[in-house]
Amino acid sequence: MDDNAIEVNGITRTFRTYVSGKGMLGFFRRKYSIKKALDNVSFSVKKGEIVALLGKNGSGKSTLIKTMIGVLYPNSGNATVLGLDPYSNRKTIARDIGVVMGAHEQLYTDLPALDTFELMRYVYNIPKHEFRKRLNFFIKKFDLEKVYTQQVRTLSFGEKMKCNFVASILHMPKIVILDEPTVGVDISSKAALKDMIKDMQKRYNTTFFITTHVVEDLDIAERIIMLDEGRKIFDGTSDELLKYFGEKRIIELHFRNDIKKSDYRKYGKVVESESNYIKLEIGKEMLRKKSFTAMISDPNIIDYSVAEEELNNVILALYKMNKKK
Amino acid sequence: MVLRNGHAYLGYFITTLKNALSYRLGYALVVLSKLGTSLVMVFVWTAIYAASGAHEIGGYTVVSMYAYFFLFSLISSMDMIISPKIQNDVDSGNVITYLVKPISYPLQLFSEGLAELLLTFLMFVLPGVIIIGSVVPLNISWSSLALLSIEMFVFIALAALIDFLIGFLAFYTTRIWGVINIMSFLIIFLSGGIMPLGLFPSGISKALMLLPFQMMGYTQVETLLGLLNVSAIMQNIAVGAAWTFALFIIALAMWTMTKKHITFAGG
Repeated sequence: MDDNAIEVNGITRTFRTYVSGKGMLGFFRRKYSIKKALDNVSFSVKKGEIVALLGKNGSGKSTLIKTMIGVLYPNSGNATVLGLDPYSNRKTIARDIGVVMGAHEQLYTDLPALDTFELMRYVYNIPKHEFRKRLNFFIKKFDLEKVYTQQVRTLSFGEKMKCNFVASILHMPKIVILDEPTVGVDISSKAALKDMIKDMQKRYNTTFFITTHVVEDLDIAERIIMLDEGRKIFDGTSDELLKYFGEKRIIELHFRNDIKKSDYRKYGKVVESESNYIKLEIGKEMLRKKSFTAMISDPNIIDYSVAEEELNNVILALYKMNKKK
Repeated sequence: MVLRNGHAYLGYFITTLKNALSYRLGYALVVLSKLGTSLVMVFVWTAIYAASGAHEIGGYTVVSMYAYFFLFSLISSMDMIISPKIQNDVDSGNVITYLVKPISYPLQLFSEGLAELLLTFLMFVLPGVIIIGSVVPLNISWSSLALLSIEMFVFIALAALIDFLIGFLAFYTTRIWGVINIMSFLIIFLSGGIMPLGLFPSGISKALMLLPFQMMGYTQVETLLGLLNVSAIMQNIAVGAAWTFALFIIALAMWTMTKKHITFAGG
């Protein structure tokens, strides 16, 4: 129990939304519909774990974060953060969490980011010498030396994002929640962000909960939770996610001379083909079959490669499967 | 009530001062634009005095009437701009950035409002009162300043509480411009911004003195002009304080209820 930083038990959250009527009078015939943003979601996150919450736009990721930390009240179910009920202890819990909402800025746009950092010193009561030490470290790490004293409105999106991140972790929270943290951030800044996440986890056993719809962001996560239409559809590692689909393999074959596509259908599904090239999707067990090894040793083949199914495709397949349900 | 995490609110106070001062000229113009209503009232009352041919209406000479409206503009500029901020925060979804911090959202808004009031007082009200005082004799004594301080304290609290109550509606309906405009007009009218409350028919005037709005400009201006005796001032302060207490309880209950009603449109 004490090992868990976050526990979410059967949370359901609905919203009432407007639905316009049809035709000229539609504006006056306003109707309401109930949207289930979260549907009986349960999971737990261990202290020091890096968990990615993956989902399409509108899948309920941000609602889950807000409900989990006590900003939104659930219709049913409950949560605990660091052993406390977030709905009655929002302010206490907020001292130990840092939240970066990609879409919402906490920086004062008419002032330099330094002023927002100073504000965070007051908000979290950080001793002055400690604040200086941390700020210097983060500024250097994120290459913000020339930027953090400039008016925020003159900064690029990526620079603002990095400043936002620094403002959210200056108090060294036990849990960091990042909502779409890499949107608009360049490759080197993404690398610095991921490096910082790993570093904080290692040094301070910080728990990270990262929401994203970008598959490339998943490489840092030790665990992936997938949400679709408010439901949890997967909870496990990326390897487990690949296994979930029977471990398919992608074979690419390059030939010296032209081939007949139909000759290769017996090995698996033809994904792509040209006169002297074919891409197949095959089951992992096919690799051990004699007929397959014989085919691979065909002298007509000048090159071949075997790859695991791409995570992107697995995720798309999982969404499709959930839709059918 | 002990203010927990007071340093956080001090942080918001200081940052708001810095923010306002980053565009000093723009801020000064916004504050100066508050004189607009009093200029309109000066023209209206000049016409009324000219048409009636009277030198005095309800104890006000034309000069003291001018002084009344300019002073009213100065005093009433000391209200906080809270409800439009709440509406913007709710509409943009940025309210989340405050709710994830170990602070009370209303107290944070109040701290920001106090910083703006300090600037308004130093840049607009104090120089304005000095200028008017050099033209029209004002009732400036230690006792009147003490009473005025209490009146301003009650005014700031009342104006903030009323604005909070309007602002909280944004969590239910998002767009509250209509309510803000209606309330702004009502407050100007009921606090004596169009006509001194003493000039209303006796029954209506007495009723208006029982509302909180008399403490939102009228009583302070009358105190400065020396037109109210101490017992009337004390009575007005008592009424204002009672309203402050009642509105505080209502605002507290409404915020507790509103917190459970918060929804965010996307993201």
